Amino acid sequence: MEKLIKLYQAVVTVWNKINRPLLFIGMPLAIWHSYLVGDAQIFIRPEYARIFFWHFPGTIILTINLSAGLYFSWKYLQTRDQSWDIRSQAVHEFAMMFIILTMISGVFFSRVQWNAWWQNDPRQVSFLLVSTIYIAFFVVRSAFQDPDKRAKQSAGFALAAFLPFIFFTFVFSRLPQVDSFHPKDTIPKLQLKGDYGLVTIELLILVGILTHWVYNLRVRAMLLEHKSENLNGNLESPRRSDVNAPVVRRLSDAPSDGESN
Amino acid sequence: MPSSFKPILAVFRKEWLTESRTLSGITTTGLICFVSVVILNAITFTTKLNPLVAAGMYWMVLTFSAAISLPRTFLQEEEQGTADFWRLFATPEAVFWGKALFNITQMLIATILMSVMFLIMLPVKLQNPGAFAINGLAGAVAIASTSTLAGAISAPASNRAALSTAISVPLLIFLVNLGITGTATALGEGLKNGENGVIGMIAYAIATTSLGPVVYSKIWKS
Repeated sequence: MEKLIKLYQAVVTVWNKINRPLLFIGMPLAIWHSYLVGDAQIFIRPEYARIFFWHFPGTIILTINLSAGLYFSWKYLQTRDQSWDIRSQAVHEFAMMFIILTMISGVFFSRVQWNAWWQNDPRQVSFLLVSTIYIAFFVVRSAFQDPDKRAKQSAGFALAAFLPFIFFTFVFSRLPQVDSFHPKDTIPKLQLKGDYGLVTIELLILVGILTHWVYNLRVRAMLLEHKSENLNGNLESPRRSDVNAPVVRRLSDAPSDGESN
Repeated sequence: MPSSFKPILAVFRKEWLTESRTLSGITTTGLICFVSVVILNAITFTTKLNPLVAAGMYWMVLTFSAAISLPRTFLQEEEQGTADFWRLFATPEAVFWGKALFNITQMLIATILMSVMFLIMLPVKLQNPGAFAINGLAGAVAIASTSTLAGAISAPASNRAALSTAISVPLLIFLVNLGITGTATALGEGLKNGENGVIGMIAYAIATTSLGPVVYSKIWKS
């Protein structure tokens, strides 16, 4: 077991060293590659079909984020450790960001290919419904001032929300009344081939690395914020008469009741 | 009767006794359903409704009436200050199941009344009564258990009434989609494999009633 942990730590160390160089070299190359591939002639405006390269990775990464959010919420409810809640909040924030980005790229795609900003396509609508579910997650968080209650209730909501999310993502498009412009079988049957498939995978990996890097920064910042809040809880303001006292001091340094009397 | 059912029935009995004093929950749900069907009737008059649109109206009424009235079983415990009593004397599963059972009963009554009014007052023709009934009843169970959970999540908040409605509607949206499939098929819409909507609704009802106690048991301790 110790060997496995050491191996994992070594992999993480190497990964932390190479991920940023990989990102800064790989991203321009992938963008360049996306303009080298030929236009997709099956679309009305073939040159704008490249929006898909930025539209598709968002959907996969937000699904991964929401699945991770489910896991972190569950871990919080098991352990009541605030760090899990911080992770859950971070992945839900990123999922919401990707929901918005996917929606925006989808709206532009709709405008150039189908000649309407909003096509009322069932997939567009179902995605909008998913966004309402996760807006409700942040509404739940904002409703509680106490950090423990906020973490607990929002974790409960994240568990409850995952079921409709799964149904909207994987079942809704297969309902009989749903006739969408979005193809149903492209991803499950691996129909995305050739250079288009390659660029899509490249950008999916690179956007994934970028998200993971920024997620780590966000979590570190929030953990530091959490620690500093706890530190402030152990500090008190000095008495007005004691002008030489430091601005704040630890409660443990304060005189006991007996001493002050 | 298995011993594990006794605490659930005790919670259900408490809810029923509380409700029987004022009948406010059942009358609120019933009134919302009744008024909504009357409004739909006033909008449509003799216009023949497309089964898909009619099914959409039917499920919208059920969803919003549930989102407004059902979460109160948990909200009133916080308002009356009796939530801690349950934490001391009952298991979370018994509390959730008891309250969910009461909400399911209330929702089944509302669904049956609303369905009868809907079929009498609106210009729709029922083609498959069995699918309509099963879909409606499974939907009522799923709506009740989801709304109960939304009530449990929002109960400790200061703006609990508004929050419970705001979070239960997004959680119920998919159920509306499933319900529309089954009900539209029952009303004669020629949907390919439309009966699968009824099966999906039953599966969703089972999933929500199973998930509710698990989530509630994790969040109920202060």
